[in-house]
Order: sequence, then C-alpha cells, then structure tokens
Amino acid sequence: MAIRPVTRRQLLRGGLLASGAAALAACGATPTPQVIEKVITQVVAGTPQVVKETVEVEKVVKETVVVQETAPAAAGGGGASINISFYADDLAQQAVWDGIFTAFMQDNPDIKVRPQQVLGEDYFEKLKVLMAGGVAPEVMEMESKQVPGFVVRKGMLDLQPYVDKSNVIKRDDFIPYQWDKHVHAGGLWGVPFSVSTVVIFYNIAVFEKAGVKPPPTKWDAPDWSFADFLALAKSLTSGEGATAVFGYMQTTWWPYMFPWLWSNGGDVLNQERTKCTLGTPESEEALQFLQDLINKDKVWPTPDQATEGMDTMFGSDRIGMTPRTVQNTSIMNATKGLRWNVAPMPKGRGKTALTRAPSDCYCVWSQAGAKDAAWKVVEWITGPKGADLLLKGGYLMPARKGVATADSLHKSIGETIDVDVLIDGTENHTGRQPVTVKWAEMGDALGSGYEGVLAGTKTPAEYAAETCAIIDPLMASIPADQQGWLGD
Amino acid sequence: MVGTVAQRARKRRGLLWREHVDAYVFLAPWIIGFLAFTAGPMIASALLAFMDYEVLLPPRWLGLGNFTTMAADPLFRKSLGNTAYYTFISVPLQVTASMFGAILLNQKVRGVSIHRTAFYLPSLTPAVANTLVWLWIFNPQFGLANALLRLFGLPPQKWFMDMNLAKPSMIIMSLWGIGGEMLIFLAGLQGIPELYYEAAKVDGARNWDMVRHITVPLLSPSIFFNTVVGIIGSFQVFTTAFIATGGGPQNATLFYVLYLYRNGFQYFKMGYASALAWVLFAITLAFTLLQFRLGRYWVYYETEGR
Repeated sequence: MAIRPVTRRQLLRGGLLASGAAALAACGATPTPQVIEKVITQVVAGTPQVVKETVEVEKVVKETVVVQETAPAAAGGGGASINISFYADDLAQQAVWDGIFTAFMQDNPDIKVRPQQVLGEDYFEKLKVLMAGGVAPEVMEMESKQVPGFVVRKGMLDLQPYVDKSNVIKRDDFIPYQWDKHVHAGGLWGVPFSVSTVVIFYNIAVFEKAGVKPPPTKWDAPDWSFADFLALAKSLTSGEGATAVFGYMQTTWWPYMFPWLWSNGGDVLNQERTKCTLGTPESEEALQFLQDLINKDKVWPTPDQATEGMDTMFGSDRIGMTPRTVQNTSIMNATKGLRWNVAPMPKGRGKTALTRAPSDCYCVWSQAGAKDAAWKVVEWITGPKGADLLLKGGYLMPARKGVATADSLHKSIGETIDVDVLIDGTENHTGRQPVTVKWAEMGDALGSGYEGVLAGTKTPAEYAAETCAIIDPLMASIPADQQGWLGD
Repeated sequence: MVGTVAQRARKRRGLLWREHVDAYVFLAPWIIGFLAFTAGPMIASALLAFMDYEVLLPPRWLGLGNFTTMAADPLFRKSLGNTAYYTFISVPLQVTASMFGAILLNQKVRGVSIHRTAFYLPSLTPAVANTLVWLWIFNPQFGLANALLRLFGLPPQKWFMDMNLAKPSMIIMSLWGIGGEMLIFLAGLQGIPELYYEAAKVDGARNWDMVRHITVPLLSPSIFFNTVVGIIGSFQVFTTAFIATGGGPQNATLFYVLYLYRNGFQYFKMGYASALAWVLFAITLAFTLLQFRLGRYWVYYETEGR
C-alpha cells in the first residue's frame, strides 16, 4: 500500500483538530461509545465526595474530581468542608484567626474549615462577585453595617431558626444592641463577634514632656468638654517641621466624625433615617470644631504634615491623642518604647459623650450547600470558646457579655491600661451609626465633602447643603420594607 | 479537454474551500474567545443597561430609567468633566512629548539603545507599581517633586492632596508611560526616507524647517494613531485614581470608570453601571469617528500620492 506523505497543512490541521477534541473532551462530560463512565464514592481530605472517573476500555483517558459535595448530615453537618472568608490586617491578626480555626477543628473533627483570608480593601466587592458567580464562601466575616445591603438582596441566611435550637448562642449572652443591629423583618442575619469601641488613646511621653496631666478616665467627667479637650491639645502641640508634635490627630475617614457629632447632639440622619440632619446647629458646630482643630487651632496636622502616617507619628511621640480602637493595640504594644493609655471622648453640648462602637459579625451565605455545618462554625466562633480565644488574641473586644472584663482586658491589652473606659464606653456611651441599605452610597457622599471641611475649603453649612442634596433623595429611594435597621 | 477544464475548476474550488476552512480553523480560538468573553458580556451589558440589576437578584426591566437617572446625577457630570479635563490635557501632552522624545532617540548617538530602553522601561512597569512610585514622588513632605521645587525657591505643593492639583498631578504622572507611543513614533521616523532630509539640506532648510515640513507631515499617520488610541485610553483612566486618591480629594479625581466601578461593585447598581459603560462607549466612538473625519484633512499617507 502506498503511503501518502502528510503535508504541513494537514499536520497543522490535524493537530488543531486533535487539540480541539481534547479540549472539548476535557470540558464536556458526554461519553463517547468507547468510554465507560462510572461513579464511585471516596473520601477526599476527610470529606465524602462524589468523584466521577471516566475510563476508556484499555487506558485511562481522564479523571475529574470534586464534582459535588455531599449534603451535610442532619445532625449538624458532619463531614463537611466549610470555606470561611475573613480579613486580617497583618500576620499577627492572621495568626489569631488561624488559632481559632484550628481550635474549632479540634473540637469538631468532622468539619474542615478552609480559611480564605482577604488582605486589603474591596473585601465586600469580592464577596458580591463570588455570590453572583455562585462560589461564595459558606461563612463570611462581615462588618455589621454592610449586612443590610446583602440581606435585602437575599444574600444572607436567616440564622434565627438555628439560634432557636442552639444551646450556645442566645441573645442574652451578647451586648443587646450589638445583637439587635442584625435583626430585621423577624430574621437574624449575622451573629456579632467583635466590637471596636472608639476611645481616645494618648501617648504618655507626650504628656510628660509637655508637663500636663492626662485626660480624665470617666465618661462625662465635668472637666472633659470640647473646650477642655482643645485646651489640652493646644498644650501638647509644639515645634515645627519634621519634629513637630501635635496634640491631636484622627483619621480623615468620615465615620470618625460621628463621636463629635453625637457628643454635641448632632447626627447625619434623623432617627427615622429619612432625612439628612447635617445642617442642624449641633451638627454644624461639631464640624466647625473639627475644622478648627486643623485649620485654626493647628493642633491636628494637615495631610501634608502627617505623611508618615498616624500610627508612626503616635508611636514616635509626635501625636498626643488619637481616637482608636482595641484593634490598634497590637501595633501599639509592638512599638518599642511607646507608653499609652486610654480616655473617654469629650462631651460637647449633647446630653452625654458618645462614641462609635461598630461591630463585625459572622454570616452564612443564603446559597451555602452545607448550611448546618456552616452554622456550627458560626456558633463555635461567636460562642464562649471563640470569644475567649479572640480576646486572648489581643486585638479585638468580643461582643459577648462577660468576656471583656477588666481582668481579661488587662491581660490581653496591658496591665496598666484604664480598661474601664473601654468597658463603660461600649456598654453605655455608644451612638448608632445610621445604617441603611444605601450605606456605601451615603458614605461616598459624606466622605468627599468631609474632606473639604477638614481641608478648610468648605464651610460646614456648605458641606451640609451639598451633601444633604444627595442624601435626602437617596434615603427617599429606600423602600419601606428595607428600612428599620437599628444601626451600627 | 472539457473534462480537464471542469476538473481544474473543481480542484480550484476545492482548494478555495480548503483555504476557507483552514482560515476558520486557525481563527477559531480567537473567535470562540471573542464570543464567550467579549461579545457575550457586551450583549449582556447592553441588555442590563435597560434593567435594574442589583447583582444578587434577578434583573428587572427598567426601560430608559438608568439613562434618565444619569441625566440628573451630579456625580455622572462631575466624573465626565474630570475625565474630559484629564483627556484633553494629557493626550496632547503625551503625543507631543512622545514625538519629541522619539525624534531625540532617533539620533545617531552612542548608547542610543540604552536610552531607548530607559525611556520604554516605565511602560512595562505595572500601573500599580508606577502609581506607588509616584505617590512617593508627590509626597508633600519627603517627595522628590517638592525637593525640586525647593531647589528653585518655589513653595512646596500638596499634589494629590490638593483638589486643584490632583488632576494635574495625574497628568504629569501619565507622561511617565509614554514609552509605547514613543516606540510607534520611532518606527514612523525610521520609515521616512533619508533622501528627503538630504534634499532639504541642499535647499538650505534648517533643522526646525525639516521637522515642520518633513518629519511632522510624514509622521501624521503615527500622530493620528497615537491620538486616537490615547483618547480611548484616557477616557478609561482608572488605576491611578483608584490607588492614589480613591477619587478624592473632594471628588477631584473621580474619573468616569471609577464612578462606574463604584456603582457596579459597591452600590449593587450593575444596571446603572452598564448604562454608564454604554454612554462611555458612545462618547468614545463619537470622538473616534470625529478624529477619522478630521484626519482626512491633516493625515498624510504616502501611498495616497497627495
């Protein structure tokens, strides 16, 4: 038989067809007449999974794995594998979470936790994309103020039925408002695990150098008004250029205006969350106070004077006071030579001094496969064991009552710290950030103009007029059934 | 004889057919990719532009609702204005700077390859890394830009932190990445026959005259290409603002695509974001068509023999 030579074109065409066929075979599950498909069950990494193995009569063509996870056992999700997303700013924080997940798996060997740590910003954008793609983690750490946006779009599972059956998680075990902020339309959409109460952190060395007494340690102390605070900040401010010391500095992130607004009787929205109230005398006065701290009194460095960053300046004795949370104590305690303590927020002309105490919570994705197992993870992490480990981690205050006591806080953040400021602040001096399902949009509207107030290019009245013109229609666009969140 | 002609015709048709098949086989990977990853999402976004789509819920028909919302949206106008400002200042600057850079790099001097590499290198650096470098350059306290100003006795500036300087700072930063355009100009320059310059010299032309009357006209196709591509690219500016300023201060760098991103991924308004995308497409297309129309009057192609 004559052998026909193969031309280059035929070879290329054949090659392309072969690759195409291979690619299609790899993608598709359609069996050809020579292919036998058999389904077997085997354990992969401790998880029973259906594994589809496709074999040809004489040789193995292809093996595909992990087609579908088995349904969780009715008793509580035994044998499941749960993806959990969380955020951590640094390796130390990551280690705390790794410890918590490991301890959970030791207690629950039938559930494997697969942590998905997200560094940096855009965490919530990633979650949205993963949910839309149907591949979101079963359990998600969330900022409580972000939860409503996901709930009204049916992204979260109602946890109330699970709580009803739980012996570990009860509302009474939590700081009440921290629990209630996750309740809406009869459902519970997240279980809080940490609270980030904002208080004034002060640098003891700066006070000693200026020869002034530290601020009071009691909320609503008679000598701790806005005026007292300003006088103290002025007495701490000295020097020029790269070695200048400033009495005060806070992040320019807009939610940090809340303690000042609230402590002066103002707010961003009215109680019903339907109307912008930045233009009230109380709100404008508080904003003017903040603007003056930078531009008139010059006790707060301008952005170009503070390019080293707040933590570095505080750690190198160049900032006297700054409002922060327990979350920042791990960095402070790791800064060599830094001695610090805490004080309450000062009071303006409001009834009492108030601060913000936003929380983080754990939620379960509404489309999660292994819902029971996912709940077990949430239950354990937000339960007594998880809360205890969280506190020992030294960078978060648990939302469970009775865990963050004076003794335990002393052990976790420092023996000499006035921890009662944190405890009293969390329990009795917190305002409610006006959370709505339009939180992100409202935040961008508030944030851009607030920069102008701090820069001194915009008066509080101008800021209020411009911002309320955006916020009022935004609030009016929220349907009635999506309103009524308690706030964070 | 007749049979032979018919056989030849059949063979020719067969050959033609085979060539068509071959062409499509070779084009198939691109066509499949285009249909799946470009045309598919484009069609989907065209439909979503007329819908209220909140990402996690099924889309609902809205008709022209997204477009009427846009008409009343102050941030839409703000972001469009910011983007137009950036485009109409940065593109002429980029084209001019890259053309003169290419003319300099086209000289026969020692080590010219090293110079060319040095100028092209920033184009290869990822945008994120570039932006971080420029954040340091424009650092008000320790940055090189202010050090340079101080050297000339000028007051230091806040650059990205100043709402009046933030956009100009980004325009300056955009000049860092002109290596790609420079390369196109360099190729264009090397296509200009030496003969023209020699003839001009014989006629007594000065260097500037030669640039004006030979180099620029013969480079006009490259100028045209870089302008068209530059405007399209500038309308899509995103990374620098996203990383360096987040749209601030006071929305001074809230560029169109950044606003689109916020709507789609932060506000759950993917339908509105899709409408924004199609409006941007329409604007870009209009500018591109306008340039092609105007190009007839100033772009010179040697093959046209004009």
